[in-house]
Amino acid sequence: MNWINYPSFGLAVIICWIIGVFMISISPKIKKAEWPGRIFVVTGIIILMVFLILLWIRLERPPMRTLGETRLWYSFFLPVVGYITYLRWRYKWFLSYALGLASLFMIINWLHPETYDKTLMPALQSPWFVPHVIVYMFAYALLAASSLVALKGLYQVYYSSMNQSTLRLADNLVYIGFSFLTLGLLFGALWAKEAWGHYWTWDPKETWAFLTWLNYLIYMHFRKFQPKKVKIPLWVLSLAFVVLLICWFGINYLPSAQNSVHVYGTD
Amino acid sequence: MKPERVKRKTWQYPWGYKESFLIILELVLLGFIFEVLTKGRGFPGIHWPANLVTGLLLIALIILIHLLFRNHPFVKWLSSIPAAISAISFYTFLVLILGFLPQGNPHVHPVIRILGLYHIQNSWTLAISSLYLLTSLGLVILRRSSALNRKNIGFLMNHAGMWIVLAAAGLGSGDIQRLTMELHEDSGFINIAMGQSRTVQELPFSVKLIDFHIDEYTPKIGIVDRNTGELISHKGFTYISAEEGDITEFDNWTIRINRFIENALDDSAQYIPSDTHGAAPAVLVNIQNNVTSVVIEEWLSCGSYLVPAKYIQLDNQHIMIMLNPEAERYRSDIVIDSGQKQDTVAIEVNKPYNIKGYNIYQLSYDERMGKWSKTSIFEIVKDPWLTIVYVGIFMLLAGAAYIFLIGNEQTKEIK
Repeated sequence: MNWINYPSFGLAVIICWIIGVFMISISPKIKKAEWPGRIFVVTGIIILMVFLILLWIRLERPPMRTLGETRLWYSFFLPVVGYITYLRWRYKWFLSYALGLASLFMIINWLHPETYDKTLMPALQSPWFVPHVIVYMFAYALLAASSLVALKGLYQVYYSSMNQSTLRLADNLVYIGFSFLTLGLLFGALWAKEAWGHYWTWDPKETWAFLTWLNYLIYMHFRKFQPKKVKIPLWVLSLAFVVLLICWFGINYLPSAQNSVHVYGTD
Repeated sequence: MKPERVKRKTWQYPWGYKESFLIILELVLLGFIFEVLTKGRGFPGIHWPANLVTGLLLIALIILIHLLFRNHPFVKWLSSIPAAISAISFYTFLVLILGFLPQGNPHVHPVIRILGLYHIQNSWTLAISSLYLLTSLGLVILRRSSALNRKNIGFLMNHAGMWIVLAAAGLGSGDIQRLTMELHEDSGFINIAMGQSRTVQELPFSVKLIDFHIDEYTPKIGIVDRNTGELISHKGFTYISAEEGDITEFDNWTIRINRFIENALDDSAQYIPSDTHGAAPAVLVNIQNNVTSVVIEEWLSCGSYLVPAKYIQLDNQHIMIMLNPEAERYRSDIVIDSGQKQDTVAIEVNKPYNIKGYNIYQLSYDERMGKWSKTSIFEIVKDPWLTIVYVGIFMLLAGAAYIFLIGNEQTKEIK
């Protein structure tokens, strides 16, 4: 299994999700549609998981080196987060957004075909590699979800009436996402000590990861102090995701980051 | 937005966001003034034992303030969330500059140079920002720890962990030694290393290099389009692996690897296996053009400092090349003499060796010689404050786990 098979797998996944979302969204009228809808969504996630596992086996290394490979994990975790959130809090709109965003990332991967590359540089051969990337991708999925909620909140503030439960959902996602972001950052620090001699070197990726972390930290403190104020935290949360994206993708294109130890392939 | 309380004048207690951010502004200006006064030398940094004394004084000061003045509105403000947010924002602002402006090069716009924005890491602004953050955070920790209960555990893990990491990393940075040691396979035991400013330093142990070697992945073979200068891509592959016996359809060609020699020397249009230093990988490839059915068989090599590279002209537009093999592993076998005993150990990337508080890392080698390098370069790091930083990091890890398990308590309370 490798990237040649990606289009067919990706198509199967996206079709499953479209059918699933459609069935779940018509379920208020047709009750029977909800369960099959859920099964389609989960099937899509499982197909993607199978692709990831087969790719891992075929490449003989964790498929987490290039941006395209991390996008794939992201497209896997986001629906997982979306599905759990939907089960837990019954937000149907949220599931469709999560699946939509995941599909978008899968289409980006399809438009930028990955090349097949087995090599893994010595710096990445470490037991920290897999937990560091997985924890980060899971955090990114949760925080992307929180920003989606924030955008919905902003829409409510300006065009309809703001519902406190929207912000509460955002808070829950941020808290869990932030705990994973912290784990990712600290795993990275512990790994850096093993690989490069120091736990913190202000590498551009580190700097931007730290900035991302600080942004969410500000959001959490703000919410704690004035829980009734909504506009500012909603904006902070929407913009925090922009910083996150710079950290994830933007870095590879920054001239100051050409010597970064985190640039392992730009596709 | 509705006004939430009676309007009060600026600087009238209790202070809120406005005062917090005005104070930040003053602290930033203070930092800039120090930068100008010290003429771009920045914050000199503090070393042992001054850093320990500073740390203890800071702790004593925070405890005293907490014990004596905890009910004073200024101290109340300093341990409030607006002060915390202003402190984090101040720090964020500096990190943002660090993330955007190239660091380390003083040949920048005069304004950037005078304000010290090109060396944020050792600027007065960062030192002041850290001090402000540590004071505020310290007071918060003391305020919350006066009521020790289960609900506070997560809070204290996160906040105290952060305090310890910031304080220990900041105060300890002056004591970190990063040295490089260059070893040659013939040079015997060496106990000196080079500091950052080329100062020579003696180490309490000595090291002898037995063998340095690089394991390489099988070299890749690709086809370059001479118009674009780039490798052509075929079904998601831009190369084929030089495995002996493999037959691959690639674009218009059927490529068969007839022979692969890992270490070869060229000898009148032939390549023969050799153990000579500088030998390069070579393959004998059989290429059939599927359009014209023309078959050629030629040698291909990426070359080395000794062997010239050899490519194959496929047609007017395409040439076949061998890419330089990528390293799979760098490894140095060394003997370490600690004075009491000798140990034979292997050092690899991601696998440092610890002796007497020093960590030895595989850093580099003689890149000109590639895998035939007989030189290995190590980085030797001593960070006496590392244990304390790790205590903080593990508290933060526990705190993160706590947040994940318990989640956000507050949102459950607000209606």
